[in-house]
Amino acid sequence: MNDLQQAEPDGWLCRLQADEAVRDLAIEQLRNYLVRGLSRSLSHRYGGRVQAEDIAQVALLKILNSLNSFQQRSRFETWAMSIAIRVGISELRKRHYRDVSFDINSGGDQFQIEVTDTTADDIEELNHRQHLLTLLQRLIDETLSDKQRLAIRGTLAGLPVEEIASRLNSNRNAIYKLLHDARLRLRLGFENHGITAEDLSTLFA
Amino acid sequence: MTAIAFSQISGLIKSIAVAVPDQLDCDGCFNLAAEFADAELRGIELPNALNAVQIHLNQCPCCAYEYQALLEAVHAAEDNPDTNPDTNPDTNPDTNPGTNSEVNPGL
Repeated sequence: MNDLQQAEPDGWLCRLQADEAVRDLAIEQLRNYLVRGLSRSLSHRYGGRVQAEDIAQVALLKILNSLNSFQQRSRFETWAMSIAIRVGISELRKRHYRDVSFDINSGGDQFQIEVTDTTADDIEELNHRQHLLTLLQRLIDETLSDKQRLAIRGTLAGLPVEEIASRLNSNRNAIYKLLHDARLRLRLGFENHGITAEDLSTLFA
Repeated sequence: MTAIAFSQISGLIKSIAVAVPDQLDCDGCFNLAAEFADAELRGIELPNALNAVQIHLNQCPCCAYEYQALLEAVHAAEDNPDTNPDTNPDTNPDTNPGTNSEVNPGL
């Protein structure tokens, strides 16, 4: 029988706020649960350069400080693991992209798209793609804001939203919204030129 | 001039193609992720209120990546209670460098 099965399914909140002996045991069980999950899930992501035990420790503090925000709409263990995974992946991203030198601001907010490698079955497909890329460039230049262009540039450099936010001194939610609005605007721009989402997906599958 | 690999431009174009209005931001998605994961893990039909999570996950590679990591972690924690990361070659980065090299740019 594992730690989880020994614990009362709905008893985490009570036990984590009980007297010292009960609380310490519950914390230890939760820590073990998190370490088991994190060890497996994080080890192959971004080079896995974190220790599951360290992430679990940081996550535990966050979890214990956030017990009041647990609304019991999910199992406690899943809620706790979601916090631990976010802590772990954020840390992995930070470490991975610390080594990636890309100045998102260099060259200002203007940039030209030049695709370095492309594969196409025939010349007609290649021409279609080139037409779409030319239009994409125009739409980026004419319909996006300066900030949206910078964020798109970060995306094209392979940076995740979290990292773009960090490099633009912003936050993840704001950059996601910026990028999402940009995508909607570009999609509308393509549609106004008679190019559907299906056309885009087919040509760039 | 910014030189861009085909895979990156292809990723941008695909994200434009699937762009639809999204009620959630990343924090909003995170707040519902555990409930969404429980429904998926238990094979329960998703309540309508959680449709917004799927819409966000379809459009946010970062959140989708974290969500997949969450599912894997919950599976591992509950299915392999005896997994010891120090001795299991599948989970030990030092003894399994092959799995360590996976990098997911842009996630």
